[in-house]
Amino acid sequence: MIRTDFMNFSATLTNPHLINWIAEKNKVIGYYCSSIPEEIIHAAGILPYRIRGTGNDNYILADSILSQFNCSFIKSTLNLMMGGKYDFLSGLVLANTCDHVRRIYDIFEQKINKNTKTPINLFFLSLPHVFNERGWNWVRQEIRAFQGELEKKFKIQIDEEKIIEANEVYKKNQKLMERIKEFRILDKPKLSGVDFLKINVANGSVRKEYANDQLLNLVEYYEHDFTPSNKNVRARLMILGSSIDNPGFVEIIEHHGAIVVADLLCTSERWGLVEKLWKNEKIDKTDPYFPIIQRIYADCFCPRMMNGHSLRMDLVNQKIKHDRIDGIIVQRLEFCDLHGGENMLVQHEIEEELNIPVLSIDREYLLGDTGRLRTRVEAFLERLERQ
Amino acid sequence: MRSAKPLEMLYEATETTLELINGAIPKHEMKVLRIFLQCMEVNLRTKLEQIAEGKPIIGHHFAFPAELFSCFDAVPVCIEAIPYLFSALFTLGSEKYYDIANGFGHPYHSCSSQKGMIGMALQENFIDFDVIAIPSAPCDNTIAGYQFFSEYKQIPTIVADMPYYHNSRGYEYYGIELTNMVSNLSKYLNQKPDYEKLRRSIDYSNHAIEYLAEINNLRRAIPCPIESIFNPIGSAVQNFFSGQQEKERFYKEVLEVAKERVRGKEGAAIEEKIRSFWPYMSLFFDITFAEWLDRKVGMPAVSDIFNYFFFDPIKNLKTLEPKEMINGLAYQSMEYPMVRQSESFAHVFFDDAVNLAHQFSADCAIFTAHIGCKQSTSVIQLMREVLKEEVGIPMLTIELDIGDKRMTSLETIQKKVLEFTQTLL
Repeated sequence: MIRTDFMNFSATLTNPHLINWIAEKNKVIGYYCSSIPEEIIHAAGILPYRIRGTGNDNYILADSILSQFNCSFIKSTLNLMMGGKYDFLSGLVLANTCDHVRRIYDIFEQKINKNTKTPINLFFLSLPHVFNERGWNWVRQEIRAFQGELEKKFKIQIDEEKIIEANEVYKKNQKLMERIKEFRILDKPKLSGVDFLKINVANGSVRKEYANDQLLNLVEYYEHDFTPSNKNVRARLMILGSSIDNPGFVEIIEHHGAIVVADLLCTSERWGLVEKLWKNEKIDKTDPYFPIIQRIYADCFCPRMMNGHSLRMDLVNQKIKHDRIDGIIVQRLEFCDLHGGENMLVQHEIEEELNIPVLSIDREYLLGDTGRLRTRVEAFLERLERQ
Repeated sequence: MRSAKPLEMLYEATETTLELINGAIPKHEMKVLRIFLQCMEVNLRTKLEQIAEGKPIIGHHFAFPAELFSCFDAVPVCIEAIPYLFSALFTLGSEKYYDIANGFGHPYHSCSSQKGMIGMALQENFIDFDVIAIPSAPCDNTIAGYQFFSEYKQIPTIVADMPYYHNSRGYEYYGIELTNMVSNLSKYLNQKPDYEKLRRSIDYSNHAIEYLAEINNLRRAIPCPIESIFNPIGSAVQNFFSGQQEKERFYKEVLEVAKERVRGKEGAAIEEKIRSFWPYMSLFFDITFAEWLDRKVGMPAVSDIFNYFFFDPIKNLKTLEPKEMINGLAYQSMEYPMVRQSESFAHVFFDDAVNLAHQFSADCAIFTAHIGCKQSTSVIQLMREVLKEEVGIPMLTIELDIGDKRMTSLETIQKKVLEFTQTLL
């Protein structure tokens, strides 16, 4: 395999590693948000797979259930599931992370599972919307309950040792992603925003031991074998807002010569690459669940955390300086109320307080309006160049 | 002088509307609306007087047990109720404020209840809230919208985190959240909580629960004795009068009307042809719609989820410790209308709809797919199937914004309802 082939795992729902994994009678569990304790699934010897809408081109099946006011990402994933494209999953984990995602659980429980001979195993986590010690303890209980459900439904035992091992694998994965991220913020970046997103998406579609080998290869490749082009970068951009798993969207942004050197997206750089958002010194750091809760709760960048806005803005500010950002693209999926409210605030705060230009984009998951989007990005780049 | 401009405007509108109704409409008609406006007049006058005396103003979410605020010498104001009361009582509605919020970057598809208040807050003469108290439920709009008040307007905002599980673990957790809320409010307001005042407030609510249960028993009668406008008004009563004496008074007086009409076998509709059940919200932007259902279509809205309490009064109130009263409120507020159906698994929503449709002998259902409520619009199709299979009734869905007449006009809604009735009669 060529070292960069790993990135191409983002182009299709399945990939060679996943196919082999399933062929060897192993299980795969899908999950929607970065707030799901993947490490527990990993410790169970199962492949945690981040659900995405890759390859979907219509909403025909999903529209028979969801309404015109639902998020097109969720519709895309449901469309794929109803069309059998996710039949490789043995389970699906959801949480109350947003109004669209949490209803997928109900749709499976109340409709899809009732009308099939092979109902999928469903798991649900109730997650807090506030950072505090009580929330931390609640999340710990939820993870423990999830672990118990996994053990019961799959007739397995997940002992503490396996969780500690999984934590080590995930820690290594995080370090490697941090290393790869460094290639992105060089004066002459070696890695485009498109490729960084591809790596992240691929990383969510394989077992992390396999991912770590591939990431190590990529680190070596970018460190020793890759020469960046001499072309001038028109602007260094950061993307904020709704999750993106379609590199095509970032491609549109980079099309006119800008480069996305940073982001704070739950499908990309947010994943373990940020300073911890919420700290509490009283928490027991020797607890094997500590790193998991830290990642999915204390380090949660999602606007669903009601007392986290100023923490999130501190992080944005820090990244603007550290990654030398010229302009910011604040985007969201249509009908996403969480990012709708957050983006409104972020745009005002960045422009008025930090004096950094912002382009605000509302988008559909299926990229149907690319011409208009390209024109808006081009105009934004011209605005940045005039400054 | 602290501003409470929107409340002053509402007070004037209430007075004018009441005057108009008293002057133009026969006394035996529109009784529910009349009772509401009388209660509203008293409630708003009291609030404005208290604000003028310098009492702190607590802004709160509709899904929050406002009884808790009675522990303090303060004025509670339900934030979501204000734009919808504007929608109902002013010809121009709240649209101006929606546009201001949209102009600031608030998305068009977010809930108009918070959007209206954001628009008002971006203007001068907003309500000078001393503190805002909210739950983290029942929807993304609550979560996102209130960050505007805490971050942009810098109003101290206390959040009680509501778990998704409505079970003993969830109730217990939320009870502690509410207990913490009281101590936080105590610090912000610099007042010690008076739990005897809380007891009195719960007593009002207990009576309100009992009266509403009786009203609902009577609404099962054919013809339905209570006019359809009871549904949107009842939502306003629960939210705007929460924890206050006017809530008890409203239900008590409506109960008398219902009793009298049942005795006289008098229905709200001129001729009751179809009994409609509304599994979700009512229309707020035009209160004539409910009258149109009764008078022109003969299709009273006999029930909806907002006007049915899925819990009992708090028992043994006289002897309860403060913690027990707060735990009782925690349980009730997690089972509030809409919270219960929206901030938990959808089967609760379906079971409630089936139960109410049966109880009220509904011939059909009409689901208002409010653009703000993604958690409910996600399961409309499932609701349709459940009502068809388990109750045998058809369901009409109307996509709209309950507080903004520009998304789907009254005429369009009426046309849809009339077309639907053609399939029923």
